Amino acid sequence: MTALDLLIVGGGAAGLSAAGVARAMDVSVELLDERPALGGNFFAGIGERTDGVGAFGPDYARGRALLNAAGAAKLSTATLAWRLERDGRAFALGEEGPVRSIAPKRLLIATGAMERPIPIPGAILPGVMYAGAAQLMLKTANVAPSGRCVLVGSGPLLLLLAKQLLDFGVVPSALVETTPRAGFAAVLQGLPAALNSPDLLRKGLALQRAIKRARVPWHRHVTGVSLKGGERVEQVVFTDAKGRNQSIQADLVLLHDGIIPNDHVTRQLGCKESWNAAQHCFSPVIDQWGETSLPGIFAAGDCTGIWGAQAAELSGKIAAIEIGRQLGCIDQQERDRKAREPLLKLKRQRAFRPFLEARFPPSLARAEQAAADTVICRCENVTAGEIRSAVAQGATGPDQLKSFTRSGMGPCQGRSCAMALAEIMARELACGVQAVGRHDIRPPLKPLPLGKIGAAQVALETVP
Amino acid sequence: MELDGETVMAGARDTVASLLLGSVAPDRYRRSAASGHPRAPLCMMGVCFECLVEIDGQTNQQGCLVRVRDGMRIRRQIPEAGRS
Repeated sequence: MTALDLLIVGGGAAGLSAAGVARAMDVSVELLDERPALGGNFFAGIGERTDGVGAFGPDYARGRALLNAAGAAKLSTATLAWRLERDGRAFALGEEGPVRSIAPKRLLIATGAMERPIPIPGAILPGVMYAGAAQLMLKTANVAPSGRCVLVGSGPLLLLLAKQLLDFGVVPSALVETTPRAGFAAVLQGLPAALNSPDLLRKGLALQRAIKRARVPWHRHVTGVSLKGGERVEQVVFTDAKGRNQSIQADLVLLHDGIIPNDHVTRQLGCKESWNAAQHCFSPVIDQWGETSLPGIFAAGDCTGIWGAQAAELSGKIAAIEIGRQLGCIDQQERDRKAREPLLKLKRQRAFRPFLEARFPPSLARAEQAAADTVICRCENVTAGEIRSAVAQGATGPDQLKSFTRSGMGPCQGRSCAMALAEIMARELACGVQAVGRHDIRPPLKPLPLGKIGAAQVALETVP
Repeated sequence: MELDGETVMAGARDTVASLLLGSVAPDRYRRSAASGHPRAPLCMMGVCFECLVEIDGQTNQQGCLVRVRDGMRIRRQIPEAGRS
């Protein structure tokens, strides 16, 4: 077995960027991604598009350069890192062959972001998807939705998706926005951002203009959203800004209320995490180079907090530069010289976020306000009412809640409900979400056939 | 490839989940083992596990993470899909 310098988990903006930068310093790199193609969410499908970048623009085209630079690394797609150790060792399973044990000198986690789970009435109905799902289908398979499509929720990504659908010739039946009216605080926080990043503000305004020009019915500042249907979604019901009850027919409902770090891997590793009140999510604690509380284990990109694809590229680069120094490829002086510009750019990228965070607080994904019969744990079909009564019966934390209700014990292992469970418990126990926390994550990170694990033991024992 | 015993065509860049979304009604994608209710893909990014299907004899595979392959045998995990 030849020694590997750096193992990267996740092939999106941060992972690809780190792979390219590390290879340029002669660091040996393997990158694992569970998806069949690289690019993560933002650059999804970039390596396979033969028809130009179409509706996705120059920011998306940047993925080609990242992919090319990362090409010097060993890239293993459709490969799941299902167990990670604190010494950086990983157990990986690809589509073919047995489990591999990989022992790198450094480990970089770059697992990106996921949609903020939205447990509202009817969200479990077929025909309801997240906005990101529709965007991924556009990017990876050129598949646009058909039928009556209604966009519901809040956040810049929802508006961006509306625009991209229009570019694909799909006119949404309605845009139902739950974003509250801009408060004084948001306007104040927007001022420095607007001065520093007029281009980003302009992009946002252009999105709004495009949606208005297409005459998409746009309901703003709505509340009380629920989705109705028998075997599949049929209607979006809500209260509009004037207090009137409205109902819109729908074949497909696309939900969005911002994104949160996809942090199962850093949680399984046991990286120290903290509560990010501004972004309303947990994220692993990292230093300016991306090193976590576990020495030698780094994290970069949106799995460390939501800063966007351009910031992810920069943070992947910064982590790779420090990893190069730790491995002796460059000295400290060289590291500081190489990192100066990306660190400055990263700071500038992040400066705009407080405006977005204040302007688009979670408004649809308010689990603590969920009605008793709303399903919170989708896998095990556990409702908000069942969770509240478990708390009343003495469940004091998310791990205990599992024994009481099975919430978080289904195939998704709590990915879809952990945040919602924490919010509900915090409300019931009258404490902060950070005091409740989330349940422990243990390997395997995803269900896999027992035979594969069994075969792995044999393979490990026969390693000379 | 084969979907519940019938031959279907897919695009080269389709995943099993995107193929099914284009081939069957969303309420005929799968049924939840816990509730018995119909469920369909939610996130398409490997998080939600609502896209579970049987692929080449292996049950509970995340359809959104598996690219279609020539000759692949896909089975929906619903009673009406039948089991030969």
